[in-house]
Amino acid sequence: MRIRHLIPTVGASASAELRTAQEFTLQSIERARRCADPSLSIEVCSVAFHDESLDVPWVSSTPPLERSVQDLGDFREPRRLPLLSDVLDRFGDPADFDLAVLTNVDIAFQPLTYDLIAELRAEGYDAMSITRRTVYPPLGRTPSLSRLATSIGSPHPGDDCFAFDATMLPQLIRPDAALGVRWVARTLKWQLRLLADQFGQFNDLHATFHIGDDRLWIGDRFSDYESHNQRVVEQLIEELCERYGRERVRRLQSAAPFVRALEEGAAAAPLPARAQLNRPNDPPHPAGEVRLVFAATSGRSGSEFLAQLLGTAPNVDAGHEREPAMIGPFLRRVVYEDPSTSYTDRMVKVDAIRAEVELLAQGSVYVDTSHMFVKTFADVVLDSFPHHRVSIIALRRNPIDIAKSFMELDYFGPIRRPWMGWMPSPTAPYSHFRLEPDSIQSQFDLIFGYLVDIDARTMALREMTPGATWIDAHLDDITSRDGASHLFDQIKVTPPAHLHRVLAPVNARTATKNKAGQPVSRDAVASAWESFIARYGHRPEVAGFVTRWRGESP
Amino acid sequence: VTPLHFLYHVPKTGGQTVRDHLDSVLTRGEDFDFIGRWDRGDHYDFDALLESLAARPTGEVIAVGGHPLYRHHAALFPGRPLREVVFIREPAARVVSHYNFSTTMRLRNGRPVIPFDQYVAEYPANQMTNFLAKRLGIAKSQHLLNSVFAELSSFWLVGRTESLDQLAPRLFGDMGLEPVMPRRSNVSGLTIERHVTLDPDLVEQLRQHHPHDVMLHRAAARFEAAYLERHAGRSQPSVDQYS
Repeated sequence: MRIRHLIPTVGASASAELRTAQEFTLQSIERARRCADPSLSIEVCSVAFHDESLDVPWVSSTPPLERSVQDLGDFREPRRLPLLSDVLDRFGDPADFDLAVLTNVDIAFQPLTYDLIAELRAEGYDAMSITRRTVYPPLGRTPSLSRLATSIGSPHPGDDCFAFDATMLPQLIRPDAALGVRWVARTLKWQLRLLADQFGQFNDLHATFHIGDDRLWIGDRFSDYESHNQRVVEQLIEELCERYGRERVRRLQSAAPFVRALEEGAAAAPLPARAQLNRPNDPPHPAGEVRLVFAATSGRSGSEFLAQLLGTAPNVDAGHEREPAMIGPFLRRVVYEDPSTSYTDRMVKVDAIRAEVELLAQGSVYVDTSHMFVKTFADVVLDSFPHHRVSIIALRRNPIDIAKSFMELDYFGPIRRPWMGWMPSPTAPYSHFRLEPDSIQSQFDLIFGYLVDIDARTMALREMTPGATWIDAHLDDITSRDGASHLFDQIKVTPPAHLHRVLAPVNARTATKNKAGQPVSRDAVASAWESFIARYGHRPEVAGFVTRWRGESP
Repeated sequence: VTPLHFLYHVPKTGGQTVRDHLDSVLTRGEDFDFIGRWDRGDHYDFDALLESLAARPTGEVIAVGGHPLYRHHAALFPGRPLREVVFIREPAARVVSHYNFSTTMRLRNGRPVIPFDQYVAEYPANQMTNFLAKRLGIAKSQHLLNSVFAELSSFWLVGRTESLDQLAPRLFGDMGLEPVMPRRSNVSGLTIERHVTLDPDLVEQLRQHHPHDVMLHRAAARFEAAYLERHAGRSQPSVDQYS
C-alpha cells in the first residue's frame, strides 16, 4: 500500500510552542515510518509557504503555498494561515498513491500508527478520522518524545488526522477554509462521510497525540477567522446539498443549522464552540468530592441491574431512573422542538442532582443509570458539572435481544402507550436518526430506528465530552463476576465483599410481556433487522451502529 | 383581558402573609378570593365560591388563593389568562414551622400535644411535592416530581418563602397593586409559639426524610432567579417600605 502523508508545516514566523510541537511531530513520524510494516510505502510531504520550507531530508517538499487566508479578507490580527483547498491540491496526482493521510503539524504519531491506518483500510474503512489524545509535558522536566508518547493523557474530540482513499481526491470540493480555525476539519470530514462506503470515526484510540490543549479558537480574539470559515461552510453546504441531497447533508454532525439556514435564506446560527468540553487542567477532584455516574443506553439493556450492582458498593448511592426522571413533557420537548429551547427548563435535573448530592456523605458516588440520560439531560448535566467528576457507562446488549424485548413489551406499539413518555419515535423532527413517517413498514422499523438514534446520540455525546470518563460495558459481561469486578475497577469503586451474591438475573419483565401478549421469536427479529439494514444500511448512522455492533450479529 | 393570579397555598410557605396583605388592599369577594380551611371556618367552601362567582363578573377578580385551590378551578374564569404562583419553603424549616403552628393551635384548643418525634415519624414524606401535584391535577405515580417540574416551567412565579420579602412586592406590582413588602403573618416566636427550634442535625434528618421537597426547593431557587431576571430593569420597591 502506498501512503502519501501531507503535513502543513510551519517556519520561523510560528510561535515557539508550535515549532516545538512540530519537532516532536516530525520525530514521532520518522519513528513511525521506520516501524511500519515493510509492505507499506510511505511518503511524508511538507506543505509550506515559500519562505518557510522545511529542510528535513526524509520529508518531501510540495509546491510552495502562494496564498493564505489573508488574501481573502481583512482580519483584526494577521495570521498567515494556509487554505484547505491549497493543501488538498498539494496531494498531487492520486494515481501516485493509494491512501491519503492529512494531519495537523502538531499531531504526533505512535510508532504503529501507519500500520493501524493500513489495517483499518484493509477492514473496509475507505475514509477515517482518528482523533488524538491530549498529553502534557511532565512538570519540571524537559519533555521527551517517549515521555509524551507514553503519557495516557485524555481523549480529544477534534478531527486532526484524516486518512482516505486517493480516488476520493478528485471528487472533493476544495473549500477555502483556513487551517487552524473552527469548521475547517468539518469541511473535509463531511465530504469524506458522504463519499465513503464505510467511514470510520475513531475517538478512543491512542494512535496520535498532541501536547496541551490551548484552544485558540475559543473566544472572540480570532472570531473574524471563524466567521470567514463559517461563510465557506455555508457555500460548501449549498454545494453538498445539490450534489448529495439535503437529507443526507442535514444528518451530518453539526450541519443541520447550515441546511436550515439555507432553506430559510438566513445566516446560519450554529452552536458556539464549547469552552469546557475537556478541562484537563482541572485539578484532580478532591477525595471527598461526590462523583457522578450515568449510563448511555437504550433501555432494556440491563440498566436497572446496573444500578442494583453498583448500589451494592458501600459508598455508592445508586438509582435507576431517579427523580425527576425527565420523561414525558421533557422528552417531547427535545424531540419535537429544538432541544435548546427547553434547555433552561431541563435544568431542573441539575437542581435535583445538586440537592441529592448535598444529602450524600462526602466521597460518595452518585449513580443514575436511567436511559433518559442521553435523551433529556446529558447536556444540562455535563454543562453544569466538571467533566472529570462524571463517568458515563455506555451499556450495551445485543440489539436483537433488545428489539425482541421491546416488541414483547409492545414498545412503539399501540397497546402500551406509556412508552411514549420514555422513548422518542425516530419519526420525530429532532431525532438523531430521523425516519420519514411514510417509510415505516412495521413496528420493528420504529424500534430499530430508535436504537440507531440512541447510538447516534451516544456517539455525538462521546465526541463532545472526552473529559468525562467513558466506560464501555456489555450486559453479558457485567453479569459475570469478572466483568462486574472490572466495572467496579473502572469507576474506581471497591466492589462489595460478596459480589457473586448480587449477580442476580436481569429484570425480564415477564408479567408485563405476558400482558402485552405478543411473543416474538429471535429469528423473526433477526429477519426484521435484515430488512431494516437493506433499506437504511446506506445511512451513516446505521453503518456506524452496525460497525459498533460487529460481533453482535444475531 | 386582565390576568388572573392563582395563588396555590402550600401550608406554611408564607401564603397567609400574602393573603393578609391582599385582604388589606382588596375587597374579599369582589376582586380577591381566598378559599380554605383556616380563614373561613369551613373545610372547603367551594359551593360558596361558586355562588359568589356567579353573582359577579369574573373579569374583576385579580387573585384567587388558598389551600384547596386546584388548577381546574381556572375553568370558573373563562377567557382569563392564568398566572400561577406558588411559594416553596426549605423543607426542614417548613416541617418545624408546621409543628409549631399545629402545637400552638392544639394548646389553644385544649387538645393533647403530639411529641415532636412522633410528629416527624408520622409526617408524610415530600408533602410539598405531593400537595402541589394534587393541586395541579397530576395523577399519583412513581414519577410525580417529574410531572411537577414539567408543570412549574409554565408558572408565573415559583419562589422561595425565604425570599418572600423580595418577591412579594414584585408580585403585588404584577397584580397592579402597590409594590410593598407585607408584614409577616403567623411568625414562630411571635404569633405562633416556638416549641421546636432547628439545629443542623435536625435539618439533616428532616431533609433526608423529604428528598423530593429538597429538590423542589432547590429548583425553586432557579425559578425565582428567572422571575427576578424578568423583573430586572423595572422599578424596585424600597426595602423599608411596609404596608
